[in-house]
Amino acid sequence: MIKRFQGLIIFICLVGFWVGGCASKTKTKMEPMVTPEIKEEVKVEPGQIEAEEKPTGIFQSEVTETDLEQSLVAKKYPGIEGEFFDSSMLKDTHFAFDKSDLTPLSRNILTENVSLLKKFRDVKIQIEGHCDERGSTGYNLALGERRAASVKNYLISLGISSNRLSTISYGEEMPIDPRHNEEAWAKNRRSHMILMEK
Amino acid sequence: MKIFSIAKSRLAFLLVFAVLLLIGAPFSQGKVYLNINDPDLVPFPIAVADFTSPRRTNDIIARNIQNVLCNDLMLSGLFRVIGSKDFPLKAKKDSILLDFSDLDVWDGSGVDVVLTGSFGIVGNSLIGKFRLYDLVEKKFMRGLRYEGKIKDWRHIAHKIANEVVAQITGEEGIFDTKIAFVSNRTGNKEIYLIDFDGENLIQITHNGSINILPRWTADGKKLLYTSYMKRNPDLYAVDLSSRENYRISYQTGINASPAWSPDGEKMVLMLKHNDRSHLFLMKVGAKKSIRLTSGKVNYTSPSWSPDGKQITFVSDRSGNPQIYKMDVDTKKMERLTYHGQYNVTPAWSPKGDWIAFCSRQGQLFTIFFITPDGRQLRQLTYGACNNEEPTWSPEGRYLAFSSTREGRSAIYVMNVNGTHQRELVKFQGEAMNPSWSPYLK
Repeated sequence: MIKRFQGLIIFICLVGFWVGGCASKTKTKMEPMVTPEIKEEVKVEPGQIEAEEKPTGIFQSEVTETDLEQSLVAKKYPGIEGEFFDSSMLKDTHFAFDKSDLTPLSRNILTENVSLLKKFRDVKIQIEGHCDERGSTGYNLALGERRAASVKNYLISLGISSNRLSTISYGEEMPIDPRHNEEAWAKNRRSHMILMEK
Repeated sequence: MKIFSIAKSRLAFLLVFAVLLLIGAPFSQGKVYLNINDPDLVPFPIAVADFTSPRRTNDIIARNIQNVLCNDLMLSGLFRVIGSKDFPLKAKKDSILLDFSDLDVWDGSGVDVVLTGSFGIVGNSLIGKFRLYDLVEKKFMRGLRYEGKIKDWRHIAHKIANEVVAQITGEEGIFDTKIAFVSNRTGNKEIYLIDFDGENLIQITHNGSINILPRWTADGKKLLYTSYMKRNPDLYAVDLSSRENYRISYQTGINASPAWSPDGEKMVLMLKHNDRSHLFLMKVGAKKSIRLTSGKVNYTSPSWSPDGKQITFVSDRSGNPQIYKMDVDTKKMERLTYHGQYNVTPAWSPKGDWIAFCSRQGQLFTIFFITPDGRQLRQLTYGACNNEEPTWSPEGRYLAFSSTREGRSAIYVMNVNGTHQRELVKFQGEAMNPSWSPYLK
């Protein structure tokens, strides 16, 4: 029990540091703000989490949060104002052609994303809606907005405050796979979550 | 370009910019040599003499003007150009002359009209003239004298081609119009401009961001486009003479695809409302815009009817994108397309008789026409590639569109009957979102 309590305190500290780091305007990359003794316990490579942490059953959520923090990378899209933080741990959701409905898989992914994000209370989240290259540029702008909105509404239903959420449609303008085939299109029809500074 | 009388020619001579002097009969919509509405149109044969400089000092610029205008005439699909090497034997000796004193030498040649020209450089100016002769009635038809900047020689060639079209068909030529489009040739999407003939490529934006959907203002002086520079799809305008860019609509969410009414007094554009794209009417000078559409569905890609009373656009209110039209005053809406699951980018023809749009047929995108009453449908493009985003030339005789027939997306031009398809310009990288200018004064 005591150990669990310790973990909680450590976690609260972590959140405090992380948010503090976020607020700093001059910072270009978020440093992992962890005290040495925590590092011992939580610095785990992704993929090792299961093996090392699951048996204890204690630090699981804390570890994933720290992991999220450590996975954050400061980024900037070329030609687009503003820096943001991106994490490979915040998974994208995917859509069918010309659709914005969330599949059961998408809902699971978003629920996991939210569990990672819930305790970063002050961090603003931007949801990007993306389309594949097929169809018209203008219609895809609208479709991307629709996709981002359906993700936003689901996050609100999971308890994320709407004033932390913004949406942006990139239409077909930001494919992650530039190829012109079904495999690429499936990857490109997605919503992506990024963290903005406070 | 200004028009002066002969009496003012000395004044005109002093003007730096291009001026135009009438030396022939005043322009009149007289005899129509070629009916462009004829569905079985046979290209009109026109003989073009060798353009030279007045004193044969430097023929290069004269020859360049001739080449550009002949290319225009051939690209139009309306003409068969006969060069001096194919002149009748007796006419060959006169092939560099401005005046064909003896038009009898053309008898039996099958050619009805001959064009002659002479252009040269005097000081800092390009000065010259052209003449058209009717070989059947054996009379002088039309002659114009031009003076302008040397660097405008290409523009002058397009103006001559316009005159030829006006004289032969009775309709305004579009050889000096331009097509705006988007290309990623620099690595990101920027806005470009190019002449009708695929020459004179100019990069308009250089901001390194994502720039899409260029659209012309009704006067042809500005281009509007959507850019992500400020982490939002905002609407910008660029003044084409000063090249100044300014942000004109920047509500959170989509600000895109503005369509200017033909009278130039208002535009309809896509703005985000209620998590969806809706159409808003904005009058020039007005502070507030009026929302034309409502509901939890998308409305995109507006285009005006030429009378400025209706718009055509896309909506997914039926569950997938289809073409609709709306009376802007009454907001009465009507669905036009019922074939297929994906119909987008409607463009109302300048004459009002057709709406061009893009339809997904199986896995491919194809250009179709539909009448504004929705009753007649016509397929324009075929083949195992995507043909999308049709945009009309201002007189309605041509369409520019994007096509993937060579693999990458590129801009093509075709006649409204689907013939004379050509790639506008070849370069590295992709091109999309074509938008044809109005007549440029």
